[in-house]
Amino acid sequence: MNVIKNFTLKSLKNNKKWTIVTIIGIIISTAMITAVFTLTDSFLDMMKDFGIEENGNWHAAYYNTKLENEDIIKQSETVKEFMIKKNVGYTELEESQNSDKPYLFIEEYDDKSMEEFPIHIVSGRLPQNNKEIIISEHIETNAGIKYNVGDKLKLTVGKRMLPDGQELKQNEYYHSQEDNKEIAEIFTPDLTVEYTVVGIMKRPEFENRWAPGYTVISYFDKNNYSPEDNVDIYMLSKKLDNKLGERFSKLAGEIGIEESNVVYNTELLRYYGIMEDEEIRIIIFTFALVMVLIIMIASISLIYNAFAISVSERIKQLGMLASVGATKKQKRENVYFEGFVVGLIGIPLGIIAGLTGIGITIKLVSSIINESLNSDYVRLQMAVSPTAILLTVLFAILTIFISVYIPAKRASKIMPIEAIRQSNEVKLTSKHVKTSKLTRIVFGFEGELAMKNLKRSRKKYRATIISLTISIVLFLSVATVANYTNKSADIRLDTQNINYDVSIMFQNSDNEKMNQVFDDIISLDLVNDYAIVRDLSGITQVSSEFNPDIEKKINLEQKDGKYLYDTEITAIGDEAFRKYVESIGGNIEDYNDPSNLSGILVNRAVSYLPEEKKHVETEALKIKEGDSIPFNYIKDIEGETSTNGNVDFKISNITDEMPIGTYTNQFGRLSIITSDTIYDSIVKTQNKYYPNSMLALKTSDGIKLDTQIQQVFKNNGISDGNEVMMFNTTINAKQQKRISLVMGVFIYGFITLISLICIANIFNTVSTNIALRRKEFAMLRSVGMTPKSFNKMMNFESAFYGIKALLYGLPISAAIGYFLYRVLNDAISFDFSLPWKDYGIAIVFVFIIVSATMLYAGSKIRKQNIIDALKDDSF
Amino acid sequence: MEILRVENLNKIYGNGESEVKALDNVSFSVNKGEFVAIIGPSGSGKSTLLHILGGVDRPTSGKVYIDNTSIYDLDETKLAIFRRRQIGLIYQFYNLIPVLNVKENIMLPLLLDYRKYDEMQLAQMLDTLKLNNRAEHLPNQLSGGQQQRVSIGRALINSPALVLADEPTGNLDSKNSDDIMELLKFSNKKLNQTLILITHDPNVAMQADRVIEIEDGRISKDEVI
Repeated sequence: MNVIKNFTLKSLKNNKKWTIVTIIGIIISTAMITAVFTLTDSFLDMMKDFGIEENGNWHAAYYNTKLENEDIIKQSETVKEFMIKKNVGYTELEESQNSDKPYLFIEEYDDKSMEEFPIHIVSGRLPQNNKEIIISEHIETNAGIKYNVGDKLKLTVGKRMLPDGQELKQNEYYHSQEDNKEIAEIFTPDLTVEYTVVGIMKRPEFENRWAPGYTVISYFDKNNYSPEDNVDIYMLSKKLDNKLGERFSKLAGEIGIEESNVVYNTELLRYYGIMEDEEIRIIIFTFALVMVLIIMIASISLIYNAFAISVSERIKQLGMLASVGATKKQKRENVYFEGFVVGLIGIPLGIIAGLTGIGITIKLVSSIINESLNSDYVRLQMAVSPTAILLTVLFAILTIFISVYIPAKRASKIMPIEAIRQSNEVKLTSKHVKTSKLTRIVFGFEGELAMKNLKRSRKKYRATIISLTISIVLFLSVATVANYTNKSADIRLDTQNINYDVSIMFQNSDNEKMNQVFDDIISLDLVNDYAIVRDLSGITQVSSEFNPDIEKKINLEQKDGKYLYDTEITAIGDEAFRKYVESIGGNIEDYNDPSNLSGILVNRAVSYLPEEKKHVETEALKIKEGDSIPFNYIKDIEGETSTNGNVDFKISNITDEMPIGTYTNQFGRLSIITSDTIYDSIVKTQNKYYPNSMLALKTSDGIKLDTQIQQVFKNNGISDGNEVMMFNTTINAKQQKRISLVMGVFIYGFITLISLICIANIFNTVSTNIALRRKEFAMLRSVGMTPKSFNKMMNFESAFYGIKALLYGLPISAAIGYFLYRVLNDAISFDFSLPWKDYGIAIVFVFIIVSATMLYAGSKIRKQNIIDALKDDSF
Repeated sequence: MEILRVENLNKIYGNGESEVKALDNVSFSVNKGEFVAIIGPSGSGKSTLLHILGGVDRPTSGKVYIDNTSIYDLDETKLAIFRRRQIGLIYQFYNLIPVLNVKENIMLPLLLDYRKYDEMQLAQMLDTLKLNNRAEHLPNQLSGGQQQRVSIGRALINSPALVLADEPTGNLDSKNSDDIMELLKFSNKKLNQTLILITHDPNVAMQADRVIEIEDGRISKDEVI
């Protein structure tokens, strides 16, 4: 080992405290970079799993390809692996209770397909020959037909044809007689096959919602087919890059496959960054990059300071080296080698720490994340990729290099004579350290001395202030983002102003089934209150006498001198309506005559006054009970709206109360509640279109009720998310809370680690700063400075550091906060505010950290023998 | 009148085999207005003795009475206050505060005491030190001799009971040395300032009233000239 390197290692050993703080800084920043990349990888992996769960693990497919092409594909450079599926055909399922899904759709899978497509067996086993099948459990729950494992089925298999001779595929919806006789599909039988049911699987994700056939899978044995037969070939690519599409269409061209039969698994490929739709990847990577940049800024500030201090401490040594003939390069290398050594120790430890940390974090939050994923098969798992580790190492090296560059350059310029004089720092003049008379009056002599000390070593002082400022800005910016995210989540929940706990809505209007399900649910014990809500939209032309004063500030749309109010006529079901009328003191008799339209006006509206920048609650109309308003029902036919003539609607009661299942209106919208009888009569006379009904429930136990309702769905053969949509505020709020908890873990974890880097930085700069001045302190003590005076001076120095850093840090943070607000405000609107609590925390922490470091370093000095310190020549 | 009394002073560094006796049962006393030179070879313990007299180092055993106060019976704070009021220390390497100008460095003991100072007295001091036109300068703008004069000013400003100087001319050329000695003698003769000084320079020692020689931590000679 050459003498320079030896010398460097020795000085690293001698300055243990410096070496340890620097290495800790490198460990934390490397760990954080590792965490960011690993987390990114893990999330991308999870999304790939989602892609696979949706469509299967394949990249490209050739449909309707001759089986003989298998050989060419097998030998192709493009294809890593392939699998074969054969479309057998449809079987009519006459007893199906779902009129949009009257078939079984039979496909044969080879072994590899069974592996790579998301097939999840519930009972039984996979098919092993082309006479065995597995069926989707959806057949039982949706079609209402129960097959058991072991059942033998004799099926007539055929095609779905349109009258013009075009064959329909599984992703094309059922063209029924009722929809349109002209283009209704026809089933054309080909052959009859006898199958044995050997297993039941979950409904596969790749079966579309509108797919007309329930998935049935049999085994593909190529010995049963001739080379001329058509199959679908699914392939995995050898290389995953942007040229993937090119290669597969070239191969298709060579085999002679039409471009229309070449299909890509875009759902999956997008997560590899291959398909054009890269938005999600870009978002994730931008996010990761911003995090890494923040980490780098903090780390560079720490490591740079550490090296700058190290160089200025060793000026004498470096000068000695120079005086015995060390070249510029050798002096520079001295510092670079130092960086190399601390990196060599810090980076591997950092990677290990990062992987351990993120592994533990994922383990801790995985149950929460996995629950919110809404999937039984996709999990968030830690993914460690060599690329991520390599990137981490690169970024960590870059961080150290940037930090070391300037100190190394400075070291290379040190001349022997300068070093011996120790006068590399700017010559001090009285002007530099001038303080105002006021300083002494206000802070005393100790304060003045502290102030002068800060002014003296401007460079070190500036470095400390800059690192403090960066720490403050980073902490507050991250806290501000966290605050905004929380706020926007709150707002999203808030704006819905929901006055029920659970809502249930049917997708299609199978009234008989819907009523059955609704009745079953209403009869559950946990349901405390309910309403079956139906809405009709329309417009009311209100003459100015009804207009409240507030209108002048809002300016509603006018027509023929009348004001146009959007109006909802709402029925809430007989039982709920009777209760509602009672609760507001009305008379149910007023609402029994369908020929005499009458309703209850909810006379309450919220409006936002832009000029006054506030929300106000007012009456919706200036009206009294018994008045009539003209209602105009909107017909909506294929996007074109038109209105029928006015009908007079009598307002028999006026109230502030909202019935369950309805929302508070904005000013300019009216809400009229009426009986089912009257509602039905309007619907009948105006239009035959029936809007969807929503069942709104109130309960004391949203979670327990949820499972009971799921049971009702199951009993009635329907499933949540398909035929029926359930929204549960209790569960939703709980989920929302879980998500913010996970976000919180990551965000505050990030803040904590960034703060740790900042603290290490502050500790390093402040404590070396003090160590450098121990001779001076000893001298002050020798002329009779008391310990109290000494502490007072140190406290003043800390305070000045803190105040100065806050003076820069707080406005910069506020500016960044405002900038972030402007950026985010495009997406979600909320009022600008800063997280004052975090600002308070930042202020308190700055003072605590600086004075703790000062007192720690100071106490060590204070304990030192005055004479030893005075004699000390090492600095 | 006795201003300083030292009783059985011992100072031991290290322990066991590496034990070094820097001071071995040293006792003596000094009267007010006396000018004492301490001489002896390197490592004889004279600096240790001076530092213990100045209250900046602690003896292993023994007592130091300055103006009838046993200084090592004081706590840290009281000792610091005692130092700044009753002791003036002059070091070989000046040890000025780099951020304070000449005026402030001289007045440092007063400033630490939050005492009002007399402008006339300060002007006189600057005049005596021949630093009138350097009052606003910082230490690094001064020559070695000038810096030492500042540290003498700092030691004298309070009219302390005892001024202790550790080879004050050791780092200076002969012209500057003479100036410094003139100053110290002036304070001793005209102001009746008690002065104890360590030196290697026989010429300097000759100017004192009394010479104490230290060898191996013991007083080997104590002569009045």
